[in-house]
Parts: sequence; structure tokens; C-alpha cells
Amino acid sequence: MKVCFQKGFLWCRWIPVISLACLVGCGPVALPERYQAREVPVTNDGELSYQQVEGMNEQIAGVMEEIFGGPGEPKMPAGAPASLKVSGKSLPESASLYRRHCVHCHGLSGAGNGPTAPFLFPKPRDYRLGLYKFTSTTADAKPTRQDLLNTLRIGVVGTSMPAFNLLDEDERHALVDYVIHLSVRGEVEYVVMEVVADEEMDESELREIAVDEASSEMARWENAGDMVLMPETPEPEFTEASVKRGHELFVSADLQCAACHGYTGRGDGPSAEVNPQTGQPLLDSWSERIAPANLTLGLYRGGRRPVDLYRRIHQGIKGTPMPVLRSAFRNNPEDIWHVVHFVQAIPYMDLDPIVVETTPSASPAEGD
Amino acid sequence: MQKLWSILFLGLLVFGVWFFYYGMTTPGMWLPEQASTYANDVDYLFNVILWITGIAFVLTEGALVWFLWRYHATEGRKATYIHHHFWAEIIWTVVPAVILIYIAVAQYGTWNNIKRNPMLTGPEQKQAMAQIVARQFEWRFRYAGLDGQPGVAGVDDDNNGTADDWDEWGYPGSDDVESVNELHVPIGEEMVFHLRSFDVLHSFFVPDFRVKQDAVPGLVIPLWFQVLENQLESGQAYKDYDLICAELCGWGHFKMQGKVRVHTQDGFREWLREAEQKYRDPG
Repeated sequence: MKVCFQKGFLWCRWIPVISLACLVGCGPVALPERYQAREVPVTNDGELSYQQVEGMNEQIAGVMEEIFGGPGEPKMPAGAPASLKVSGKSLPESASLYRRHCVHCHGLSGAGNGPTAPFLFPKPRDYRLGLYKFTSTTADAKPTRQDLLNTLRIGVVGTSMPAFNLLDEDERHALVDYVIHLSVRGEVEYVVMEVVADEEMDESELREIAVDEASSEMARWENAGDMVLMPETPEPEFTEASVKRGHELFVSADLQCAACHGYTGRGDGPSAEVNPQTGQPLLDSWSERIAPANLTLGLYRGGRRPVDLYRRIHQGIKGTPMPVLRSAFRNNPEDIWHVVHFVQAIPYMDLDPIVVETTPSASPAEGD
Repeated sequence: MQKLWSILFLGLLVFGVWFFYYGMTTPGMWLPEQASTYANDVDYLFNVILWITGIAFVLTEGALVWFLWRYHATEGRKATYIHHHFWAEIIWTVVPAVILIYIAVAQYGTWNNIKRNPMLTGPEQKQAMAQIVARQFEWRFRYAGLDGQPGVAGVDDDNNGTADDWDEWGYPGSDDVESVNELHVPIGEEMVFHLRSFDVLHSFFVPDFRVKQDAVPGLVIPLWFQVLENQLESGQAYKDYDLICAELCGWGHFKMQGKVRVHTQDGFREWLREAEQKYRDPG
């Protein structure tokens, strides 16, 4: 302490004062009153970029806030089906839970643009397109509530989406309620933006369009449960013969699995990076680069159950270049299961990179 | 004024002792309950070291306080330069050396039992009950299933002449079960687990069991524990314990929490059966 009074060290006494002064501004961050202006995809000379359109937010803000509320007081549109809000928590309470657990990746409006998102690949889901990759429903249907609950409970393995099985069930329902809210809001917002970009419209007409769109989207969510895909045939036993048959199909010209996933399943096929027809790199519906799954890892993002793999093949993966292959199997629906068995066996096999007709170079023993 | 430093260090001494006293006597602030068979051994070592260092702290801090008070700077008094005090140097070398050797000997048995137990590796190794794969930022578990055998018996996947078990986990067609962030175990049984990492360093830490082991990418590290029978009361089906990551692994390290659910022996088999069914259920 004596040093503080000595010549040359008198400046030290300012250290505690300055440190305290630097704390000014530390405190809870206020919730914004409205969502950030949305960006729209714009293509200039084949270059895709996202831009904010001047004044767009102001034009549609009134209508959007009336129907969906703001970040602090969200609400479902009038006439929302009861199945879209199941938990015991109100939507503002769900929003608060969302901000605690989800917002740092998925962003305030569910745009997948939270502060953690730039560090992640694959990117967190942007709910605003209403597209969800891993569902039990058909290719043009929304996910069921159970699909979203599964994603929350188990996470998405191979990505940064963690498993939230330590939350209790009502909290997970609350988060699903809010995700559906953000999703419906996002889709309605896009339609409204398209309309406003095309022509001038007064607020009441815009509101009508928005309400109609919201109703139709919510109806699709409500009916998703009717669109669950159940396997057409029961799963046959896991045998060496089944895996062999699956391998044949995998490399066949009809299915073209190997074109993307590669002959060794590593996701390095000839069409893996660039679509041979268009010459464009593979993109998903969110305009991000996407790669075919590396099947040798044994990590299945949409679930590892046999029925999950069945659904990926039968109905494709929404929003990605993984196609709906149902029609290729219409003559032999059981063949899908053989492909599933082969996919399950790939991580345990040592596949020959050269195309082989019928015999894999190493095969598992008979399952029991 | 010069005696102020002496008072301050005395305050530090008093506060330090009080702080530990407060922690040890307040419920929830000290060690968690001992839920495994070697938890008591670990706690014993903890307390031995705490008391040794605590007494050393009080003695040395007390000496410091006394010297600061008695020999504080005064106007007109020069400091004495002392060098080379043979017996002081002998004492302060030998005493700590003896203490350290004592600690090394005292912990040897416990360390051997936990980290070098014959059931972990070598000719007497036990079949692992589950494989634990630490991943940013979750815990993935693969269980050997009701047949007690990971994968499918007799498969030699890496062509080394023996049917290893650790790389056959989750073999398709087997009854192996996977779970995320929830480790299910039966009570009262010595269980071996194989710990791996998918990407970076993590550490498998269950405070109530006193088990902590770094997960090193590229290595398969066996660990074991046994939950004490007294953890489940009669009629209670299961009890949950916290599992946390104890090695900084990235931005989500704080979130990398799981739970260990201890079932009764029958309850555990029932859970395995249900998990296997859910896997096969096309619903």
C-alpha cells in the first residue's frame, strides 16, 4: 500500500476507479420489440446472396405483430387448432424457455442465425421455411409433434443439436409449441413479403392474405399425424443374404445410391459435390452446401432405428437432394428393407472401392 | 500502520479456517453422498490431504502473522541478513518429504483398486457392460444388451484372429441398445465400461460415485464402479445421479450433462428389454 503514495506510482490509485467504471453497461440485455428484418434470396448473374429489402419490415410489421405478437408476447393466430399448443405453459413462457435453451443457435425468430451458428456445421435449422428434414411423414407433409419431440429428446447425432432428455416432458412440449409458432410465423412472413414486393397493398388486404396463409399452414401441421408413413412390408430378418441384396441395389443403376454416397458409402460419389445435370454444387433448401451422408460412420441424424432408415429411403429427406425413392421399389417393396440392412452393415464392412456386382469383400455373420 | 499487514494476514488465516468449517458443516456444500463402493476410500484420502495441508496452513500462516507483527519495519532499524541455517533447511526439506511419501503410500491401494483393477485389463478382465462415447456435447452409450455380449458372438471384424468386443458394439442384428445422455445401470454389481471419445478430450465424472476418467480420443479406457446396495430404498425403482463433463471440450462444455439412472437388477433388465423393443417398433 505504501507504494501508492510514492512518486511515479500515483496513477495506481485510479485502477480500482477505472475498473468500476468499466462495469457500467453490464446488465441484462433487453428483449427487442420486434424481430430483425428478414433477408430475401437474390440472384445476380447466377450469384446467390441474401439481402434486406429497404422498408420491407415497416410495411409488414403491423400485420405480423397483430397476428403473431412480438418476441416478448408471442401468440398463435386466432383459430389455431388445439393440437398445436399442448403444453401447460403459455406461449410467452415457452418463448422464455426457448431463449434459455435454443436461441443462441436457432436465433430469436428461429432463423438459425444465433450467435453460436457461425461456428457450426451443419447450420442450426431455420424454421421459417416450415421444412424439417427428419420426420416420419410423407415428403410433402409437416412433421408430427412426436417427430419434433424426438429430435428434442434424442438430439441430432453427428451435429451440434444436443439431446434435451434432461428437461421434463412438459418443457419439451412447450418448446415444440414455440417452434411451431415460429415456423408458421416464418412461412406467413415470407408469403406476405412476396406479395408486398410485387404490388402495393393496403393493410387490411395484407392482413387477410396473412390470416388465410396462417390458417392453411396450421391445418397442415394439424393433419401431419395422418401422413405418417408406416412400412409397406414387415422387416425381414437381418441376414447375410439380405445385406448382399441390399448391396446390389445400392450400386444398381436404378437407385443410383452410389452416385452420391459412393461405392464405399463414404459420401464421395461422382455426384456428391456437384449435380452432374446442372453443374451446380449441391445445396439444400436453405441454400447451404450439403454433402451426402457418410454411411461408414454409423451416425444417422434422423434416428438409427430400422424404421427411421426405411423412411429416409422411402420418402427422402425434405429440403435436401436425397430423393423420394418409393416408386423405384413399387414392384418389390421388401427391397427397401434389404437396402436398410446393407446401410446398417456398412460401418462394419470393409467395402471395395471398385464397383462389385454381387459379393461384398467382407460380410457380417448371420444376425441372431 | 506497519502492523496492519499482520492483522490482514491474521484475518486471512481466520477467514480461511472459518470458510472450510462453514463448508464442512453446511448441508449441500461439502462432498456429495458416497454412492459407490470405493467412494469412502476416495473421501478418506481427500480428508487426509485436507487435514495435512490444513494444519500446515495454520502453522505457516500463524508463523507469518507472528513474524509480521514482531519484526515489522521500524525507523532506524536495519534488517539482518541471514544466510545458511543448517537445521532449518534440514527440517523444512525432510518434513515435507516424509509427508509426501506418506501420502504416496496411503493412496497407493485406492489408486490401484480404481485404476488398475484386474477386472479392467489383462487376463482377468470383465466383459464391459456398456461403451461410453463422449462427444461434443453429449454422452452416447451402447449397451451389450440382454445377451450380455456386445454385438454378435464370434465376429472378428478387424481380422486379428480373435472376436474382440469393443469394436463390435451396436452390430446390426444384435440386441445392443443405444441411449443418449442417460446411463442406465443395475445396482450392486461391479460394472466395467469402455470409455472413448468421438472428437476431443472429455472427462466422465459422476460425483456421487467418485468416478472420474478422462476420455482421450484414440484410446479405449476401461473404468469400473459398483453402486452401493443402500442407494435404493425398498420399493424404489430407480434413482438418478448427475453425470458431468470434467474436461473443457468447447463452447458447450457446461451443457454436457447427463444422468446415471440406477435401477434394481430386475428393473435394469426390464429397461433393456423395453429399449430393445422401442428400437424395433415401427411406430
